[in-house]
Amino acid sequence: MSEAPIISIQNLKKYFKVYRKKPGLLGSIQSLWSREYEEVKAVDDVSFEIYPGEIVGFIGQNGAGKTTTLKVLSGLLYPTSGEVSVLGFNPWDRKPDFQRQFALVMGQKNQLWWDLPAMESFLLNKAIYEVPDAEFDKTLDKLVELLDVKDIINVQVRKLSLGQRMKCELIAALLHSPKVLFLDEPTIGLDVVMQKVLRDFIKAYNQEFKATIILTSHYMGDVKELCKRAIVIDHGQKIFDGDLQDIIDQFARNKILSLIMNDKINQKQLEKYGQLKEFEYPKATLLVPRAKAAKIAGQLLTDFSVADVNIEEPTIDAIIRELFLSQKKVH
Amino acid sequence: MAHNVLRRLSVYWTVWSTIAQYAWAETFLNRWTSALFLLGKTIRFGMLLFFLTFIKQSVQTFDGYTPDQMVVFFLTYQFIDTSSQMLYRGVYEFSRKVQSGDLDFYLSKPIHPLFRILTGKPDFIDLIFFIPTTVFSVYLLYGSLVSASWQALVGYAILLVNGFLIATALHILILAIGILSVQVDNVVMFYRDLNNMTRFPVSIYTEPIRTVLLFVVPVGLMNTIPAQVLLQKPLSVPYLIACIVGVSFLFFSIKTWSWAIKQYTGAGG
Amino acid sequence: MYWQNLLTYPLNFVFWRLRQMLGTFTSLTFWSVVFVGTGSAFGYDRTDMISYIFLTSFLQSFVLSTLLNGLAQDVYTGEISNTLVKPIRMFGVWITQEIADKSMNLFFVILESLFLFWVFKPQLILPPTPQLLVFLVAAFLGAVILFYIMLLFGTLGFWTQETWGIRFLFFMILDFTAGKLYPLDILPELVKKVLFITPFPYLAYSQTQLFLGKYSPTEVVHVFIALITWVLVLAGLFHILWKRGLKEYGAVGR
Repeated sequence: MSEAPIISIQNLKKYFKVYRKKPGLLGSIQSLWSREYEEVKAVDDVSFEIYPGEIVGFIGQNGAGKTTTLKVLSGLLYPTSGEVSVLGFNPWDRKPDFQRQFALVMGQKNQLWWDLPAMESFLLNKAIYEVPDAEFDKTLDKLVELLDVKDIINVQVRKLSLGQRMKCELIAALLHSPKVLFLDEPTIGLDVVMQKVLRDFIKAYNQEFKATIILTSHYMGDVKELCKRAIVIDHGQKIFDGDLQDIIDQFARNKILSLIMNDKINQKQLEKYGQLKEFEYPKATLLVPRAKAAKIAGQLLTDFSVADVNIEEPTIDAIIRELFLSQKKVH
Repeated sequence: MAHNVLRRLSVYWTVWSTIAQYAWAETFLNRWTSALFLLGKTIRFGMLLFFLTFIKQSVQTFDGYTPDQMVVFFLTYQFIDTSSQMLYRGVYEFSRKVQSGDLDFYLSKPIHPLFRILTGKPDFIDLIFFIPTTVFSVYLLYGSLVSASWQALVGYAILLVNGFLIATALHILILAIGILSVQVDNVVMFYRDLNNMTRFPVSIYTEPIRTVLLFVVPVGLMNTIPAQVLLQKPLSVPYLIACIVGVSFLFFSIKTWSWAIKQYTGAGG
Repeated sequence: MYWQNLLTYPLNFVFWRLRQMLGTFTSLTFWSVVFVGTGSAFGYDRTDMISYIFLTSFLQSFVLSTLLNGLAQDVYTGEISNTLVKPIRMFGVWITQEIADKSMNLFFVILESLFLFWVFKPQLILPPTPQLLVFLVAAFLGAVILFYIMLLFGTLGFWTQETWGIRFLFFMILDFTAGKLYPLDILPELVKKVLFITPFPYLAYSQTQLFLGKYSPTEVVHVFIALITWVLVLAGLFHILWKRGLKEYGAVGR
């Protein structure tokens, strides 16, 4: 790519000190003067670059360092070491010129006024971000239409459903047309239909406003549908960065065959067909190469009397585990 | 440059007035609570005033002041205390803002987070209380005001402003402590109790308490010195020093806040 | 358990005690200065007044309680319903917490008093044992009265969320009727008459008067009748309202 990156991170490290409480009354008294700290490496030497207009997915398990990275990018956390540049700014200088150009949405927290209609929060953000009247009306109309929330923006936020609230959160964050958008678990807790609505919206927003979007999620679905590029983080380290399809091809080489046998057979017999993960008669789990999964399943059915067979995709967790394991071997 | 500053000021004003509108509406939403608070505040104000007038019967002099002059100290305290509470009520909600993550949103937006937190919840109950009590105070102080020289009056006005700056600085310091300890309620109540001590002139307290009240937590400079200037009594601290300490204390508090924010963003999860 | 909880947030407790001490300190200073110029004021001389303030700060640590401040909120939000299944145990929990809180506060108020004693060097004469016993019983009854008042505030949570205002008002009045700043009897007759219809004088003021031996035997009997009447009235009121509140609870289905 010839364009300059809009976000760049070099060797970012973020360590936290966590205070460990000792149990019991004695421990409580002791902690009055001496406290033990533990260092947690939330982000440990991560580098990447993101270019204008990209939608990048951050994948990782809970506590892998996704949110911490987003917070560093938003200027909410000061890095332990490393260089970070977003839109040409150091995020933690928290310059208003920088802050006017990005937005942060956190699925588990809300910025809307709880007791008031969402519209009031929109108006406050209009004032904060100095959005001119005409532009405000235009953007609001468009967002309201895209998300189909015309009827709810004048209802008290506390009376909205989680999904409706999330839609309003997104509008509040997007009224100033940010160039960069950080979405932290935007679909958390939502039902499948609402997840899809939000995904479609994020996609449409990216195309229409040419915004750069970073999205964290532990739902594979979000990332699969929205992001061409994915960054996988585990234990604070980047273990994969590239095309999402590559991950699946490379690391989800296998499918899972779950079998329930009628015949009494032994372990050895099954091991010929693939990597035996679990065996506890009558249940067995086999890992088989992706391409041959259907064929092997058919063979098993003819060779043995099988009560039930299931072919499953490995879960995102399993893929990441595999990724992480393979990473360890390289080191 | 000047144009830019003006533009920023108008942005801050728009933001504040938007927030203030909601606070105003809320006051009427909970009108019973508001009424009871108002009543409670009036009783507190009335009882102390009553007490100070009442002790006239038995007490002629109090550390060189007459009971009438004691009233001047009390009303000065009342004025600065109410006006700062009225504007900075947001401080009292700070712990909740940190826990709920609101602080994170404030930090990511192009309005100074200190401004959002300090002035984020103007208290209209205090305003409703403030206006009549101020009018009443002026009425009670009428004698002192008329008999004061114009220098004393100007000095009083300047020191009231200085007192308000000190109150601002103290609220900022409370917030800085709140960031580090995640809870602000105790500190803010402690400040209020220290401040309550200056309903009476600080000169009555023994050392080292007096020095603490004048220079460590300068509530004494905030309340006692203005009243002493108005009454043309010997000052516990020279006028100029009171102002210098007041202004530098404000700078110090803002520096402390920035430092605390850096700690927060350096450590928080 | 409770002490351990307090120590997890040691700041809370340290600040609470510091605040209590500041109040005592302010009043002690105020009256010390008053008595520099005058021998006696409102029928109190320096010794009496200082004793009054010491006693009140002791009584406040014993009688006052902020433990149940959150009760109304818990009732309103329904958080309490898990424990509600066994109402008798609930009462037991309140009382144990209350006792733990009071013992903690008492321990520290004694330490503080030693310090303030050293600063102000008052003369404090311990009354004869029977009088002291009478005082202690009255103090205990005062604590029970406040305990029931706090429970009643909690009961309000069945009907409304807005209980802060009324509690604020209550503590404001309490501050001036059982406060450390001045004894009640310096107030004019009319104000006193009105106040003695309310429970306020029986929370701290009448106890200090018992201690200082300002009551005649008949007056002592009167004070005790008033104390016991208030305990019974408030306890009865609480049990009726609590029951009714519970019914309402079920009806609304919160």
